[in-house]
Amino acid sequence: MKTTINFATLATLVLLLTASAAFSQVTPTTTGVTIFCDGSDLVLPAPAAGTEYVVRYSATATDTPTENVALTGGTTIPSASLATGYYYVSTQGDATNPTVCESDMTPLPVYKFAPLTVSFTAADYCIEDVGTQEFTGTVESTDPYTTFTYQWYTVADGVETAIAGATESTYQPSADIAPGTTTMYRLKAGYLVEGLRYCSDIHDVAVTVTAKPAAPTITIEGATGETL
Amino acid sequence: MHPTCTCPSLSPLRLTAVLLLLLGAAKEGYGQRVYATIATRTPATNQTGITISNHANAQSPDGTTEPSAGPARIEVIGPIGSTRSGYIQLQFSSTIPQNSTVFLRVANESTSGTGSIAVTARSNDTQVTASTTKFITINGQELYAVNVSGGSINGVRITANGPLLGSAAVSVYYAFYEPTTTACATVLGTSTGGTGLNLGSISSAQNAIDGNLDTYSTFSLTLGLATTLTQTVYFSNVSNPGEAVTATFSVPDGTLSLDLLGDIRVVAYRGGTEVSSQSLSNLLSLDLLGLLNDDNERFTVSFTPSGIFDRVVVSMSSTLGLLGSLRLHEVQRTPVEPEIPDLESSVIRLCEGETASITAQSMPGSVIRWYDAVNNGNLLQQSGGDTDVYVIGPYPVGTSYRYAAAAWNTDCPAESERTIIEIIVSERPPAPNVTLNPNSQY
Repeated sequence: MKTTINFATLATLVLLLTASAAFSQVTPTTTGVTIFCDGSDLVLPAPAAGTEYVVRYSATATDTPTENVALTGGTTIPSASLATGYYYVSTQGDATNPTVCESDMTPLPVYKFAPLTVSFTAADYCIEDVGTQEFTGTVESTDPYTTFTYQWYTVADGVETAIAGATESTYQPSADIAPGTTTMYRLKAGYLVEGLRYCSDIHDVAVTVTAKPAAPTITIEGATGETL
Repeated sequence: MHPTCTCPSLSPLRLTAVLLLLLGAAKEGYGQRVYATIATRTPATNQTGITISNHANAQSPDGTTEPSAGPARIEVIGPIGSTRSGYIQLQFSSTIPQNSTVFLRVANESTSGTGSIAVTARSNDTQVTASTTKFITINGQELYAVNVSGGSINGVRITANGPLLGSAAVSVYYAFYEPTTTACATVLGTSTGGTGLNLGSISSAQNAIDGNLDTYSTFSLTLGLATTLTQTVYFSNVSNPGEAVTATFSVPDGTLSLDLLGDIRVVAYRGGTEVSSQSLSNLLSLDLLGLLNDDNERFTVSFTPSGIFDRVVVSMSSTLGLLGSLRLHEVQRTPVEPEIPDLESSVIRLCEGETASITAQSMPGSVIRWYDAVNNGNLLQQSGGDTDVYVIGPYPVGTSYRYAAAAWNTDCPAESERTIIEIIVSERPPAPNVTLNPNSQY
């Protein structure tokens, strides 16, 4: 019997397969995911006495992971080798208990954010120009996840103080700042995932408000009165 | 008077109840038996005191058919003052391979005075040095065995010598040998014997060579003190280098003291010369010791003698006055038991749900058979060569299994001792409860 597959069916199949593959990859919102930033190690709790961990990795969900992961100190996956994907953790008897079987595996979905860089530009301004001042923050990241969170701060004597309500990428400085004041502004930005913030970066800029100059004293040499 | 048998087990003492059991298996023949095809006589005609009859009955028409017309016969009566001799020479169609054993079946042998019967190996008319022994005698069936080593031997001659006041007579049926390199061993017969007081016996000896592992001969020491019982199994040709002696035993319900194991020996011989000897206690592995504790359970042991062999003697002695009973199910010549290179012990530990691949190797030319039991069991897989992989599992938790691999020369009656593999399946622990610290949040 001759079997015919039309293009529509084939396209649907490809779409389904693509969707399935995408589904099986870890995202920051995958159920049970643990998020890591660049530079952070994955540290497992100490295994039960007489056992040791066996860790395998797969970029997508699977029942048969095959890529073995080397642990540092028996519990740590160093940041340099940590990647987004599924880590499958099991235990087995250690060298003193070689007959203890390997346990079932616990899947650990992990998302590792790419490092981000935050910056903003700001310059000293005259108090009378405060109404037109706006600091604009910029975030650079190679991560496919692009939902960011912002918080503006002032920093005095090394202590940062969040500016209430300043949670956008732009910020308009207060008009109440006395002329002659220099304020250290800080923008902290990170990834925003289900209301939680991760992997932030900061950028500081000192901005001085200058006073409105006093009215100039102008003496005009007018016509001198004459004595008649 | 018959010559004294030089077989190692045939003691002249009271327990030498010698049995010749030329079995059907020998006639069925797994090897290709070669018979002498030309029978000649000397003198060519009967003379006073020398009568030779039907000499042609001892020759095979084609070299493969056993002569069945009846025996030839030589009768010589010595004259006064000299010696008379008459002989029949049985010639093979070609030179007999070295290390062969040529058998000459005779009957009704008798001598008187200084009369004698002699069997010699010949290269045509020239006598060649060869070891000749009277083999086994029972019920009128007798065999001479001629070990072929050295010279271009192509025949055997049986001579009756009648010296002064002596006479000799013998009937001659045929002569044959089997190729030396047959993969399968044909058991020619068995005999029993022993030494010491008449306080033991071996019964149903033929059951130890009938090719049936369910039947057995029984060694019984009733009050052994310096008593030895022996059973000898004779093969029709010598073993191939590297082949094993394989013997299967069992112990009737609790009738054997373990102290006797060291006094049970399996000995390989080449002719009358001992080649290698092992005690049963040395041959029993721990696994087989377990079988020994199971009443009536068969256990098979084997070893590779240091040289080729053509007979095996199983002996049971009691130097301590211990009682004992032992069953000998079969004595065979087989390939060496398979090796399992990756197995450090005979135990494979698997976890619930796991599989494992077992690789076995056997002697070149043999194949490997996998079973699910040490004895009998189901044939699970048979290889096409001398290396094979068998995949086991997965198994449910809390179970244990036993597999066994045997080496087998295709179409032969006997397998090697089975290599035992124990499988122990352990529970798989639950998945660990792992909680990671999300320390990247701020």
